[in-house]
Amino acid sequence: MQRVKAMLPEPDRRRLPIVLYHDDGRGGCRVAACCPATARRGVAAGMSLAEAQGVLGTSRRQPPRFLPYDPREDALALKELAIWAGGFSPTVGIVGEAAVALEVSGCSHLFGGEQAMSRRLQEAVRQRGLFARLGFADTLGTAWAVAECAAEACTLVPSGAEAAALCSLPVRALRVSHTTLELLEELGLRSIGQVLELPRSSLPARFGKELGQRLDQALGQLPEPIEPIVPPQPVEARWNLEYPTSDRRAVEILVGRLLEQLLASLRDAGRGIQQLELRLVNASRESLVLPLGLVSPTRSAAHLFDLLKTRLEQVPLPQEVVSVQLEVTLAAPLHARPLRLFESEATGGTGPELACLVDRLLCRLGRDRVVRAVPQADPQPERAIVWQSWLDRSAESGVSLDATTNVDDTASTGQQRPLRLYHRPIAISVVWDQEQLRLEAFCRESAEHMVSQAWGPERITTGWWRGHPIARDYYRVETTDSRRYWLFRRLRQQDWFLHGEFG
Amino acid sequence: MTTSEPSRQILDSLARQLRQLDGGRPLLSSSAARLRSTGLRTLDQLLPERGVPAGTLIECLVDGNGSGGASLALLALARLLPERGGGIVIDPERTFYPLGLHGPRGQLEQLIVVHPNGPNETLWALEQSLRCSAAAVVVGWIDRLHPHAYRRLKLAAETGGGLGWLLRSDRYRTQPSWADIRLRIRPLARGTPHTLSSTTAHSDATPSTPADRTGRAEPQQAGQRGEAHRNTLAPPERSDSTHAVWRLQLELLACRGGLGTVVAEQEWDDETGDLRLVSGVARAAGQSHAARA
Repeated sequence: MQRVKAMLPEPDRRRLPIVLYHDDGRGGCRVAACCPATARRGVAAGMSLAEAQGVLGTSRRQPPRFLPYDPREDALALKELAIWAGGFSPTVGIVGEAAVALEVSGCSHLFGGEQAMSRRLQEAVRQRGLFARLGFADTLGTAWAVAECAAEACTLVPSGAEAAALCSLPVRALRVSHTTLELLEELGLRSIGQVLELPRSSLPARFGKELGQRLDQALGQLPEPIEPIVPPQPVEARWNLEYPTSDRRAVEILVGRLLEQLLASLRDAGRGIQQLELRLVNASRESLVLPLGLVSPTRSAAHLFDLLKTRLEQVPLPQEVVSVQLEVTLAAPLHARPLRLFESEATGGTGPELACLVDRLLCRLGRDRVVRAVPQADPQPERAIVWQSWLDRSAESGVSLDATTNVDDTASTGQQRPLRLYHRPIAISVVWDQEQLRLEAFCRESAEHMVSQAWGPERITTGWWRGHPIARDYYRVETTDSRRYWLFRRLRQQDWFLHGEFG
Repeated sequence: MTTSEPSRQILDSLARQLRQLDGGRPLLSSSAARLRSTGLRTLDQLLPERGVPAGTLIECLVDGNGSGGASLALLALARLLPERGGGIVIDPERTFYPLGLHGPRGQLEQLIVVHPNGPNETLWALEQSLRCSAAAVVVGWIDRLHPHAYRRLKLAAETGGGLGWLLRSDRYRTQPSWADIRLRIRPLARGTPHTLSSTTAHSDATPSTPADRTGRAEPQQAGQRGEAHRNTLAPPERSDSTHAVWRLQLELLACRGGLGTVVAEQEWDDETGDLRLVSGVARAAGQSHAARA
């Protein structure tokens, strides 16, 4: 939820109620999580999506947003947060699905003590658009328990006071399995204090090893080290010039040499370059950064150099370049090379060549100009296709780029659609035969088109819950000179528009 | 009567020599070159070799909006995409609507759509796409084209070996062209009588054997190009059916090795996406190279 909120633009982040939903595996959708604002209005996790939509209704001022829940994105965001937290501690790890653990022994004094460090951490996290609950303790188990279940947003547990801090907390603060939790609840054991009162030797027989192990870890009787997240080492190469240069050819030669160095360093790792940044630093220490993205990882120096040269040609070279730097911002294993990208069984091995072509087109024209059509299950023609950059496709698909995945056949309505659809429907006037209920002619920019044949109407309406609902009657018409167009009439306003043309 | 194999070879050779004598350069650079379909069986039947070699550039002159020219090019693309892959659409106006393509929705995933900004980027994108050997079919809208740039596109297509469809406005008809095949597509007004006496209809969906070159019947010679399209408007008629055929006139203005302008009428079934040759073929001899570069 926090990740999704953080991705929204600032005004929406504060204002819009958000509900995340997931597929329940039975053809329906259920609420996975919701923000506090929607929770106050009665929405809860596990509720069906339709029920949540009904509870929230439609508010024009604060229209609720229903977004799909993506646990993979959450995990990636948590890892990114853990890497960022490396600025506070040299040892940072991930605990469970939503917690980051920092080893602050020996470094809290650098921030003025644990209290001051907690304030710094809260502020830094808030600046990232997130809210954090913090717990400081001698053991990882206790720190997690107070962060998760204590009443305050930040709790500092003094050394040796772990048992006292845990006593009042619910048993779920022990990070035990769902089965153990159910068993504890059946026995009426709701707080950790009640569990601590039980004879320690009877716990394994009743609840298995897990409960005793978690208690021992929380109390410091068993070690629980933090598994540190290792941040990816930057792969970069730079060339500092003895004398500044403004010669484009000289810069290109240096880029070629640096590229060879980068590729040599990646060769042993079996990885290829998928994203790259070229930085040109001038004498005033100002940098010109040229990012480069590829649809699939490559180790082809010629291809990469060709693309970088194209990027360089698109911008004026800074005066007096003193340093040329290349950094690999994303390297991917070459065995994950998308051999099936663009390929069908019949095409046989043309994928890499097409990927090179798309790289060139993307590099010269921009990421949003080289796209593919993703059909959507939306009846509104303008929204039935979403144009997705090929670069986004390769990034989202990760290592298994398969051209035949994610095909949404629900968009197929069986109705004929025009080959050209205007960005904005063009207002037209029509001659409508009231007696025969037929379209006789339409007039577009003072040019009159007599209609010889019309097919329709095909009614397209959208639900009120989506916002800006439409209600249109579409007609395919053929004019007397045998041209074919796609028109619609808005049912409420009774006005007509030309929306596309066939052929 | 059956034709023996040696006689067929002799007839093939003689037909090729006749076409060269007629002034047309052969579409095939060598007899060993492999012919491919354009994606439209009805167009293949109008071509002297019943197909095209690799690296063929087809210029399609379109008579205004909604006239069906783009339909044919994109139908060819949709037909070839599952078979060869590597389909590219260069759409500078950003109005191409892929749901209008006939074929499975899954093939949209394989389609690369390029939205260039302005004529320079359009030309560059076309050249790059045609030059790529993995691009099997490239369809692009382009209007103004300098002869030098046009020549570059032709060379790029030959390098890449794919099939290129250039969609241009009919007003560029008088300008020189480097395309191997030059088509003009116009819709036929409803009620316009068939230009020629009807022959056996050839459906694009059920092609005849492409290799059948010598055994084919010669197209009928009736009718001239100028007579092909009569603006006889029929009274408006209505249909309650959900689809109707669309009559299009396909004029083969120029073709390497061709014997003159060829005019044929086709019917497009907008429900099934089938294209049928409904009339015979008319030839207007001596006009084949009027607008060739």
